[in-house]
This record gives sequence, C-alpha cells and structure tokens, in this order.
Amino acid sequence: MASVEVKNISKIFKDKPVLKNVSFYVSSGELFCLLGPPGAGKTTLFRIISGLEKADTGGVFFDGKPVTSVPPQQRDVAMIFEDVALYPHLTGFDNIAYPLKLRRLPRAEIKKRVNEIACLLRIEHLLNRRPHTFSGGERRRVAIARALVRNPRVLLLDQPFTDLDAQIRHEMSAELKRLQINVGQTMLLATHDFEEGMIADRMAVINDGEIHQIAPPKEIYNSPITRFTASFVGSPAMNLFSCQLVRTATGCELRHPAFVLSLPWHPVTFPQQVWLGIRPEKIVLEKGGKIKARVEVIQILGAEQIVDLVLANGDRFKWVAPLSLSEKFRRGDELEFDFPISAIFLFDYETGHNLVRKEV
Amino acid sequence: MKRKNIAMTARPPVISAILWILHRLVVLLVVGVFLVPAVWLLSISFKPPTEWQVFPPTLIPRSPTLDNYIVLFKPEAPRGTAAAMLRVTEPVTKSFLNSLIVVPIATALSVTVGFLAAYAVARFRVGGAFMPFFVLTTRMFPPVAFAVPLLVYYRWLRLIDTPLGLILIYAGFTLAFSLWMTKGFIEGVPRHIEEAAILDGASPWRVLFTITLPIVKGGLAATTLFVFILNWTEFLYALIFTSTKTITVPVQLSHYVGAVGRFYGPQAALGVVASIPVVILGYMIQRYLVTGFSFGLIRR
Amino acid sequence: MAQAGVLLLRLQNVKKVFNSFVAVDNVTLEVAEGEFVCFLGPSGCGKTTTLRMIAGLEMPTEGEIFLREKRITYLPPQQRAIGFVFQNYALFWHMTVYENLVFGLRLRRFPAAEINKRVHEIAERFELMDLLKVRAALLDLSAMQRVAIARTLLIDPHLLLLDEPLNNIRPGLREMMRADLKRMQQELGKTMIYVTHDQEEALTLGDRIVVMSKGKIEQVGSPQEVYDVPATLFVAGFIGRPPMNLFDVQYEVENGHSWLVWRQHRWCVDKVRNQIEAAQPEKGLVLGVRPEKLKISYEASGIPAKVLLVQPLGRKDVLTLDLEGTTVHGVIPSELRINVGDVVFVEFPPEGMHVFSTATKGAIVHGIS
Repeated sequence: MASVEVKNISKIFKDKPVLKNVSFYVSSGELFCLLGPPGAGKTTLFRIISGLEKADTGGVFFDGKPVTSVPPQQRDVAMIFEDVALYPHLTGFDNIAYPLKLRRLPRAEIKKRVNEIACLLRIEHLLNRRPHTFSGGERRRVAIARALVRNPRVLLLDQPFTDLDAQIRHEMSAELKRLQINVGQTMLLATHDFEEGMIADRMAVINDGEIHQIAPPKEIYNSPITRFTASFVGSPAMNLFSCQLVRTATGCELRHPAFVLSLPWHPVTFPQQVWLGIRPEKIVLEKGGKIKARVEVIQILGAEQIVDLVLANGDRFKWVAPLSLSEKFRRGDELEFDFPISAIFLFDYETGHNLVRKEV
Repeated sequence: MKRKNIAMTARPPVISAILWILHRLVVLLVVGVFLVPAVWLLSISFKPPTEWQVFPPTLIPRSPTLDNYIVLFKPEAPRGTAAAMLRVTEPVTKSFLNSLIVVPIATALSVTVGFLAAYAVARFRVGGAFMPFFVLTTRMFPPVAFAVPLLVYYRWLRLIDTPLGLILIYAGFTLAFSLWMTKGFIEGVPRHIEEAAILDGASPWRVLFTITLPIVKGGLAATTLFVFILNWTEFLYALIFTSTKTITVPVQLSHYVGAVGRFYGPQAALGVVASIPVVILGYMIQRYLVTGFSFGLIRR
Repeated sequence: MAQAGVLLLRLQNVKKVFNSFVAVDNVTLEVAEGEFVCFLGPSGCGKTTTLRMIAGLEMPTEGEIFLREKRITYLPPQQRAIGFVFQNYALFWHMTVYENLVFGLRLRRFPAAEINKRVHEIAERFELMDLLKVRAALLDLSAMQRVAIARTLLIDPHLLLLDEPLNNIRPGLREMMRADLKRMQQELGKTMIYVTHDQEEALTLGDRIVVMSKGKIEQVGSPQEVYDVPATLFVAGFIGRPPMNLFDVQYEVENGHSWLVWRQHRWCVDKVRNQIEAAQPEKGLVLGVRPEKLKISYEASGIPAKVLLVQPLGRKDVLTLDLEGTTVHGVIPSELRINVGDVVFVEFPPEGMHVFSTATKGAIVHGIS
C-alpha cells in the first residue's frame, strides 16, 4: 500500500481553471475523502492521480516517488468509476480475473484469488453471471473485487454509491470502512455526500478547484474554516445569517434585521459584514430568548423533528428539535430561541473565512 | 428485475386484442409487398421460355422445369425446342467462384481496416475533427467519375481483370461505410470501461481486442453484412475492370441479355442462386445483428 | 383509511400483472384532498407501477380507480388532469426553460398576462430566474428537475404525481428542495403522491406514508405511526436509519411469569402476556429495538458489546456493535467519544421493545411495559 502525495496540481480546461494549486498527502493505509459539490474538480483530480489525464502543473508521488511520467497501465492504481464500468461481455468471475490474466498469473492462482475476494465481498453467487443481471449494490461489489484482487497500491473511488438506494448506501459505506480495516488498503473516496465521507480518517473539502480544509471529519464538522465548508458538511446544513459586526467595550455586537446578539469576545479582524453560523441542532428553545421566529414546516424524522422557521425579516432557518418537544408547538406558532455563544461561528462576509476569536 | 411487455397504451383488453391482430396484418402486408419481387423471381426461375412473358402473369408455372438452373452450369445440356432459345455458352461457375473469392476478401479487408481506423478516430481523434468527413468524400462523387482515372492507373499497374484489382477497389470504396458504421458502435461503448481496462494494466491494443471488440461484435456483424451485400451486388466497377477472367455474378447476369431479347429464365435462376450466399451469411450472423443494432441505442 | 377531508382519489382492489409477474397485488387506498402521500418501498415493490396506473400510463389488470368518485380506470392520461413528474424529467430538450414551462398553459389557452405572471412566480420560487432563456438540454440535473416540477404545477392539476424526482440531486440541495416542496404543498393545498425508496425522504415529506413491499401494502400511517408502531416486520426493518435491530427470541413461562428469552438474557413480559399468547408464540417471536432507543454507555449496566465501527454523521454517531455474536446498531450523540474496540454496555428499554410474530410477520405489541 502506497502513500499518495499530490503537490500543486493545477489544470485548466478550455480556459476554465478546474483545479487550482491542489496539494494534500495521504498516508499508506489511510481512508481519505475528497468532499465537494458536483463540478468541484474531484473526478479530474482522480483521473490525474490515476494517470488517465495529465495535470498542467504540479506532480503526483507514490511513496515519495514521482509517477507523472508513468503511464496509467503501470501505476498500479485501481479506480471505481461513478458508473462502475464492469466489462459487460464477461462473467463476474472473468471481470474480477481480468487484471490477473493481464499479469499472466497461473490459472490456479487466479482462481484462488478470485474466490477469496468473492468470499470477502459476499459475491460468490455472481461469479457465473453477467453484469446486466446484477443489482446496483452487486455491481459495486464486483467492481471493488476487481480492483482489490490485484492489491493495488492505491484505490480510488469516484462517487461509488450515488445512485444506490439510501439503505444500501449506508451499508456499503460501512463495508468500505471494514475493508480498509481488514485489508489496510490506501483508499481515496470522492463524494458530494458528506455522510458518506464521514467514515474517512481525514477529509479534504474542495470547491471550485480549491481545497478549503483538510482535517479529520469530526474536526471539519466542529471547526470549519470557511463558510462553504460549514454549510456543506452537516445535515440539515448550518444556518447562516448575514449580520453587521460592531465593536463594543465588552466584545462585539451582531446586528441582524430581526435580532441583536452580544458576544463576550471579538474576532481578530473586524469586517463590517459577517455570516453568523449556528448548527440547527445547537439552537435552544428558550422562553424570552432573543430570537423570535414563526414555525413554517415541521418534518418528523423518527426520533427528531426538523423545523423550518422564519424570522421577522423573512430570513429562514432550521432547528432540529428532540421529539420530546413534539406536542409543544404547531405550524404557525411564534417561538423564542437562544443561540448558545459556544455554538456560534463567525465568517467574514467577503472571504468566507472563519474569524479567529480573541478574548476580551 | 426485467419486465416484459410493458403496455404502453392505455386501453381495455378487448381493444388491445383487436389492435394486436390488425398490427400483425399490417406487418404481413408490408412484408408481403417487399417479398413480391423475390417470389416472382423464384416463380420465373422455374418457368420454360414459353411462359416467361405470358399475360396475365401466373404465379405457379404450368409446366415447371429445371432447365433454367441446368443451363447455368451446363450450357450445352438443355433439351427440347425451348432449349434452342437458350444459347449462352459459358457456365456460371467461373463468375461464381470469382465473386466468392473477391467479395469476402474485400469485405474482410474493408471491415478490418475500417474498424481499426474508426477506433483511432473515435478514441484518439486521429486526423482531427475533419477526418470522418474526409473519409466520406469518397462516396460523394458518382462512382463513374472515378472510373477513368482508375482505369488508367490499373492499366499501368496491370491490375485490370485481376482479382486483386477488384478487391482493392471494393475495399477502398466501402471503407467509408465500414468506418462510419463501426465508429458509431465504438462510440457507444462507454469510455470508462476501456479506462478501467487501462488501469487494470492493459495496453491499448489489448483494450481494443479484449474489451472493445467483443462488445461491438454485433455492430461489426451488421457492418460486415452490409458491406458484403454492397460488394456482392456491385455491377459498374466489375463491368469496367473485368473482361473475361474475373467477371463476377452481376456481370454474368448482364450476359443474359441478348440481341433477341432477355433470357428471363436463366436470369431469374441465377438471381436465386446468387442470393444464396447472402442469405446464408445473414442467417449465420443474425443473432449478432440484433445486439448490433440495438447496442448503439443503449445509453446509460 | 381516509383522513378527515374530502375524498379525492380511491383505489379499489387494484392489481397489475405483467406476464406472470404480479407487480401490484390487491391495493386498496383512499387519498383525501390536500394530503401529501408518500409511496415508500424498495426497488420493485410496485410503488411506481401503482403511481403510473393512477396517472393512466398503465392499466390495471383488475380493480378500479376513482377520482372524485368518477371512474377513471381506463381513461387516457391526458383526460385525467393529473400532473406527473418523471424520474428522468422528460423535458423538451430543444426548448428553453421558459418555453417548457409555458407549454401546457399555452395549450390550454391561458391569457398571456396570466401565463407570464404564473411562470415568473414559479421561476422565482424554484431558483430558475436566471435560467429562463437557457435551453433545457444544457441545464444541470437539479435545474432540470426543478423545471419538471414547476411545469406540472403551472397547469393546476387535481393531483400531482411525482416519481422519485429528487433522486439524483446532491444531499445539500435535496434537503432544501424537500422543504420547499413541503412548504409549497402546504401553501397551495395541492394533493401530492410522491414515490420514493428513501425512507427519510418519505418521513419528512409525507402526511401519510404507504409502505409497500412485493406489490402489497404493508402499512398506511403517519410518519410517526410507521416509525413508532410498525405494523409488520418489513415496515419495522425498512423505516429508520440505521434499521431496527431484530432478534429471534423464545417465549417462556416460568414461575407464573412470562419471559422473552434471547441467549442467557430474559425480559419480563407479564404486562403484555395476553397479546403475546394470542399470537401463537410457539411459532417464533421476533424482538425489535430501534438503534436510537438502545441505552449505550460505559457504565456496567446491561449486556457488554464490542464496538466494531463508528460512523460519524455530524450530530450523532452510528455504532456497529458485536453483541454476543450478533451485529447490532446503536446511535449516540457525537459528543460522546466512543472508539472502535471499546467495550460498551447496552440496555434494552422496555418501552422501546417491539414484539413481532415470526409466523404472520405482523406486530404483536409495541413496548412491553
């Protein structure tokens, strides 16, 4: 299993920069997630790492050695494409055996390895059938088997679970993690669904060809560096309010058309406009609270409720309420909330950066 | 789970049944119209000369005879007064043999080169955006326009009336079809499948032969049949570039037009016999044809 | 089966057979005006086929369909005034977004001013204002689906049918569109039937959920009902992410008390013994506990289990545990930092224990306290 380093990769496609100076490092055996919306450059980056495309600048290194001049056939990289790309004219067995046949392994060895991996992924019943008879989840597993059977140095998964049923997606995520633990495979996972990526050891959030943050998933969730990251990771998304920032003797004041909040600290820099961010589950229902809003929609999700609220000035936000409060309010009610100071994030309105705080 | 026969129409079962019958009838009618010439050909091939131009035309010959077929292969053999009208001297075996040599080879050559070229154009953009168009230009002129300059070259190369000469011409002129048809099928193969093979370690040739080729098998079969028919029935160039030794079946057919009139009987018989190889080929590859024609239409 | 409210749609013993495959088996359902109904089930359960029969794109093999008590079973789709949003949008490729939207209105000869007003209203709502002049073929997926939904609403149909329209939209935008759809449905009061395989989607959107499996209706109820009181084993296992933990248990009577027994553990079910005994417990019972209800902690009260996997989901973490050889899922708030390899203790809360019959696959009792 190899470590992967991507250094200063840039690529322009038809006058549009698709990747802007992207760099990161993945250690051997790590499950690394590249998280970003469609069009962020994830697939392009993976294709560059695998060798199917060339970068304009920068280089890719496996175990410290540059592979930029190594053709894709010889990089020993396996990739699971978004549309899976199984060989339709071959059976499950032949699909998985293909890379081994290319390496001219003896037949007995091929048979042994294919059966081993089929057992590991529970797809033995698919070995004699053709891909068009497989279900979505089964095709994914066969593709993963084909990729792993030759013990590649690096495994790239490009949005591997997108069009699967929600239930199966969850299972496959877990399976991937289990594989990583059992086999110790270096894996890079590209996805636009942060829940899929949360099983990674570390995550890189990418948007518009730029990396916003690289950190373990929980850190990205709890301490997002940019507004984009904060709103992209989390379901429902973090609430963002556009406020004016005013310095006060005791710290600062956030002025929003529908409420005013005082904070006992202030950021190191003082942009005039900021984004106030708070996650829906951190909002507290409090009689006499400073934030007054009307209930618009209540969506019940099993053990919790997602409530859509609207402020006096028309701004909307979401609140995740525990089910124990289910009888306490109805659509149309006016409720009062508090935003706990510890849960508040401030982002610069222009740059989107998380404002570093300075105690007063 | 595959669902069969999803009813696209919204109507109660009774009307459905009536429409089903009507549908079959219309299809039978249309097929019938197309089959009429073939059936007529068959009918004439068994008629003696006296019945060739009878009016009103009859489907079943009153006195069926195999003379028309016999005279194809043994011109001296026919008996009877009618036989005297059939004065063709050469057996058709030679032309048949020529066709059976020239056409398959030319077809194979055309399809092979066309396929390889199509792959280069489709996957590697060889020749730029213009290449496909360029190839098509060979079909844009009336074939006769090329005849004179080619005749000059051929005389110089001493290729007139040789199998090789005809093969080259047939391969060259059907290349455009081969390339265009196979290009379409190749483009129908998702790129990701080939890229997966590349990452598995396959060289570009390996990818072509172990992945792309098996997938477009049907398309290749369809193209082969199409080009075969084109070559098998080609008349103009065969006429111009052959004189005695390498005449093909279509040219042979034209020999049955004499000063006295046309020898419909043997012509029909030869037509029937000439159709046989094409029918056999079509039968052999028919299961590939279905996959061939439908594969290109499958998206995602 | 109907809510209080005017009856809009009624399906009566509807059955659909394709060759020998029974896609929809004896479905009877009533939908009231203004409801948001979700058909929920795995691929192949018959939900889409049922939807298509309501639209008129398929004909039932047996049974009848009534719209406001008028029989529409064999009526062609264009005469039903029912809007349909396809999974693949079915937009007119070469027309602009604006033209796509006005198509139906123009056909029905609405006045130009009215058309303009409606279209601009809906374009704003669906974030389509900048795209009005763009050709439909050039749109990205989420814009396409928004246009498809907007288009049907403009014609003001009796009923809107949606066939998994949010399937291909990325999670962030998807939630926004769900909330938007829900809000709009409540404001307009338009009856909607929405097909999905995503139970979370069904729970958040539906006023009532119709859970289907293998052509049959398993349960019809509010999101709360199908979650708290699942009528069958299928519903119990399908609703909820991660799915309900299920255990095969035995019923024993000892010392005058009734027990549910699993391995060496037993739970007293005296309070519900009548219901259990009426349901042929000797044929087998299944105990179900939702992962959210499991009490998981480091304190030594309960059954020990080893943590196999931790899947953080932001606000909560999903744990995969090895409970004496059986894989079990649990949910804990993210703040609790539990690691892979730790040993935790699991308690089953009596009010959260559901009992099902193995024979009938139906629910016997929800909660044993």
